[in-house]
Amino acid sequence: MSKSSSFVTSLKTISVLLIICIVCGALLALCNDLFYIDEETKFNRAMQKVYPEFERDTSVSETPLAEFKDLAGAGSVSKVYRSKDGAYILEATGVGGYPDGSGTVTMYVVVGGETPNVEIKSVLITGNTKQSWIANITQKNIDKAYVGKNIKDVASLQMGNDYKWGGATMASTAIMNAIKSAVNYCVTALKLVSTPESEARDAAVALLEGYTLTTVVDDAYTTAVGANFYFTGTKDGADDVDVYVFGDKESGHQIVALKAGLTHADRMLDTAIVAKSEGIDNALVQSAQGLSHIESQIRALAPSFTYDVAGDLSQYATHSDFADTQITSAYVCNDGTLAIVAESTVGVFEDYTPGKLTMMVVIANGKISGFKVISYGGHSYFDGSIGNKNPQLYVGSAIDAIEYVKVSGATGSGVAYYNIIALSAYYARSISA
Amino acid sequence: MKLKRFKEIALDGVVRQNPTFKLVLGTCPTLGLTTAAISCLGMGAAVTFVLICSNVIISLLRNIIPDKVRIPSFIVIIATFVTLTRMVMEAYLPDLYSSLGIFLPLIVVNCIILGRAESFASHNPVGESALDGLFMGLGFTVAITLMGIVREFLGNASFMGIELWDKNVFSIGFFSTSAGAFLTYGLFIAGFTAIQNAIERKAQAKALKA
Repeated sequence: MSKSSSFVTSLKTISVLLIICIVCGALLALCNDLFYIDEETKFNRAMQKVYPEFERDTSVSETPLAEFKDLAGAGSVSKVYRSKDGAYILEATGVGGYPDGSGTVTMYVVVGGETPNVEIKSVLITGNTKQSWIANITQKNIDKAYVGKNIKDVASLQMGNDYKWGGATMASTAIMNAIKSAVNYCVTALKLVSTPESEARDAAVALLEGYTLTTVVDDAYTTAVGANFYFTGTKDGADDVDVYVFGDKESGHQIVALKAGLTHADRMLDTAIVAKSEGIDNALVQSAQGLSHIESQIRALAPSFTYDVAGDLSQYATHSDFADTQITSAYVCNDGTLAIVAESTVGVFEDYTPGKLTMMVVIANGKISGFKVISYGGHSYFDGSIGNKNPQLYVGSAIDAIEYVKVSGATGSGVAYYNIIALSAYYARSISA
Repeated sequence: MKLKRFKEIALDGVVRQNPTFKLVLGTCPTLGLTTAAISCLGMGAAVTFVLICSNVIISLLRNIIPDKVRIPSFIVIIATFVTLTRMVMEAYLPDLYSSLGIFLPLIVVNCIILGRAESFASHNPVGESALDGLFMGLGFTVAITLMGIVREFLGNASFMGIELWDKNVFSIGFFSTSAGAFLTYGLFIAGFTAIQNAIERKAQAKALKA
């Protein structure tokens, strides 16, 4: 083969390959314009696998958010996206998986709906560490257990047979923890639903100006009627400030303590009096991590709290209208709040011996502002009466307009409550005059 | 094209030279994707499309492409169609696109496609090459879908993504694993070869009698 022939062959070879490459490249460039999918569409599609109605709401700035650690280290939330229909997709990781609780399950949890019917719309496992048995858990299992549940109910779920499958108890625990973390984020950070816990937390944080809650450390004793919890946060740039909160919805107590001491109590006076005269009632301040701190702070408050004996007890301690009832002590605070401790041994009904009821009545601004049952005879009628919130019926009443309120099934004890409250009101009116 | 030639190409593609069970080509997607039958159908469709298109183009250019650069040229042509398939699938079938994952771009190096380009399309006219692509693709699709159905049924107690019963009640998880894929593949090859041999023996006996 001659040199020139070889050159022509080589040129032809290169040219053909080059032309094929150019034509193919041009075709692909054309198709790329035709079938181009932007990043937003790709993202929406990915999310639509979890929640078919998803369309990212870019007008809100919380997507994605900084990692959120859940109460007691149950899990964390790493990403949150909001859909235009108001639903949220949260990427949550739950701990507690195999082995020894160190394994994790990561999943998408979709939460949406109008308050108060905010529910779990969808859940999807996206990853796990060390959960070899998780394959035994089907999507159907998880959907049946969690989808459609109101997030208020999810927060209090306990591990049981309805939430563990295929022998994978620990993986099921991690799944529950991931979902609980997501729900807790919705309640705490997104405030999608109001709960006693969130209300108590918000109230506590609001009392501390410039304070931001970061982690709830212990919330084991929060119930529907009271919030006892302990959290850390930041204040004025300082990290890890510990805050202990006791809130009692029934009596309206709100006690907030920092490490340095008691910062706030709605009714310092009766808190101090209870501490001084009766000791701390464990039913009032339950034992839990952090709450022992509150207890010690209240005890410390009692001896230092300044109050005076109010009025002349010998003159106004009893009244003929309120049989078998007498005031045993009365205190007035600097702000004029009165705390009156009285007892009653009413026995107006046949075969009914209720025993002695001792109660503290707090009067502020001319109204009954609160009460504290210190002790009672232990009769079932009293239990029923407290269950019927008998004394609560008088809270807010003006001291010159106390009227007997009959509570069905607790007539005798109702009289005892009335006598103490009415006598306290009479006493307050008398010493004011 | 004569009917006999059409039959020949069809039988070669689907049975006699079935790329999966006879030639044992394209084993990566066969082993990797057969946990779900619906993914197998998608993969089969994608491979068939690329096979037909690349066979047609290569057949058209068979007299133009110099011998020395035929393999690079084939690869460029195949890669173009695979990329095109990928773009279309991403745009219009995103679920299938994500379920095929890495196996979709890997079609570029699928031995079935390069093998047919080299052994058939570069030597035959356009019509026959297109038919070869179609039936080879069909053979591949049927083979992996059958495997997918069996593995999905035994391993996940479902059919084409539809749950038949709770897999915790009864399923053989082994068939969802890589080892299960090899075992299923082996059993299918054995079964396919046994049936084919039986048919051939029967045909030979018939021919001898005649």
